[in-house]
Amino acid sequence: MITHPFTYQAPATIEEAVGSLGRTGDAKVIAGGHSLLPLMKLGLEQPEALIDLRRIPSLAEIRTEADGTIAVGALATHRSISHHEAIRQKLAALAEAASMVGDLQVRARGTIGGSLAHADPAADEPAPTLAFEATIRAVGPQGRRDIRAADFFKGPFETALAANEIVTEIRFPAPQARTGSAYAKFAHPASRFAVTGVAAVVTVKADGGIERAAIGVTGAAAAAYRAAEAERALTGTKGDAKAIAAAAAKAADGITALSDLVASSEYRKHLVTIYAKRAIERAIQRARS
Amino acid sequence: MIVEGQLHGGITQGIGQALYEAAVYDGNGQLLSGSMMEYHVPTAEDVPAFNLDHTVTLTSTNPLGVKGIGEAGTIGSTPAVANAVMDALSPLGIKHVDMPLTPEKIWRAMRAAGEGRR
Repeated sequence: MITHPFTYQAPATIEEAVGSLGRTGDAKVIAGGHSLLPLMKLGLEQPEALIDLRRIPSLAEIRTEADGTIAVGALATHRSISHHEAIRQKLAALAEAASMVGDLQVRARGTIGGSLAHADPAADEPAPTLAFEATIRAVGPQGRRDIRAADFFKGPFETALAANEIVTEIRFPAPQARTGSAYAKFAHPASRFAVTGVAAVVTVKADGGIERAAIGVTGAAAAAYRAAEAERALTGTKGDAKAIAAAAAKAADGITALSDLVASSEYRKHLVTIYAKRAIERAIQRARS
Repeated sequence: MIVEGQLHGGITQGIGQALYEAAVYDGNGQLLSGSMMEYHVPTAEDVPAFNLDHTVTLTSTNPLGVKGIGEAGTIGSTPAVANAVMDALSPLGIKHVDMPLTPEKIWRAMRAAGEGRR
């Protein structure tokens, strides 16, 4: 039950929504509601006003632009992302991560914009968003702004978004030729959040060696991060089992790992290396095929 | 049908005890596994398909000869799963792991066994 009073509005345009957000002191933006409503029921969030984005249907669109960029609207649900043909083809790690969020009901209602803006350290989609070097487009009173994924996730439930900005779309640049990607996840048995989730995006050369690697990790630390040491270790190698193992072993380097009932920080770091290996293996396989 | 459903539920509950369920408290007596977000009760996704069979032996303690079935499934499934895990770990010389048999406990037991051998 939600025990505190709040007002509700459902604007028809993003400009109107930004205006409302600026005018109301303690307002929260709601889309799928699958993070916000549970927190309100627990009394952990008590906004004075909810601004519902669902009357702005253009925000749910997924389009491929002329240069190959795939622009995913903030209101695109996890389910629509995981079923989208172009995303499955070009951004497999994103499709896989979206297909593993929560359960069927959560995927049908929850949105990628909500997931990224909420920035739960155990959310799935931040990992592929980092690994594909996506850009998060936000609109505020001063107009629109593009934020690099690498600059977006600041800490637990903390992002580079200003209080009066709203995410409108997530822009995934077209991957180069011979690129493959994969997402591997150890799910919390009860909540299905990522205890560890690793997205790997790998580009191979004509001879199959590793030209470029980008690895995003979620669930393991206070914020999702790029496993830079592992990327460096993999790049320029033949991409054989030995190189993959050596790179994956570095995927938790330098992090302060989270700890909970399912996984201590020590075990979590171990899980990161295992799931990094699985994601990298599959990404390379796909890049070569 | 009712009997089969009761057995499915009972077997699943027993698997939960073997692999997932634990009430965990911190040093101050605060329950840490306090909601369904932390405390996992297995669902159909977590368990295999069951092949059931039964025998018929009437009880003499009531006129109809009927017996309860509700918890019968739980009795066998917990040791069946726990023993299967321990059997898989036996080549490493591991003799005991406390239930629930979570991935981290298995990992720690395997690491400790590996270090003992070196």
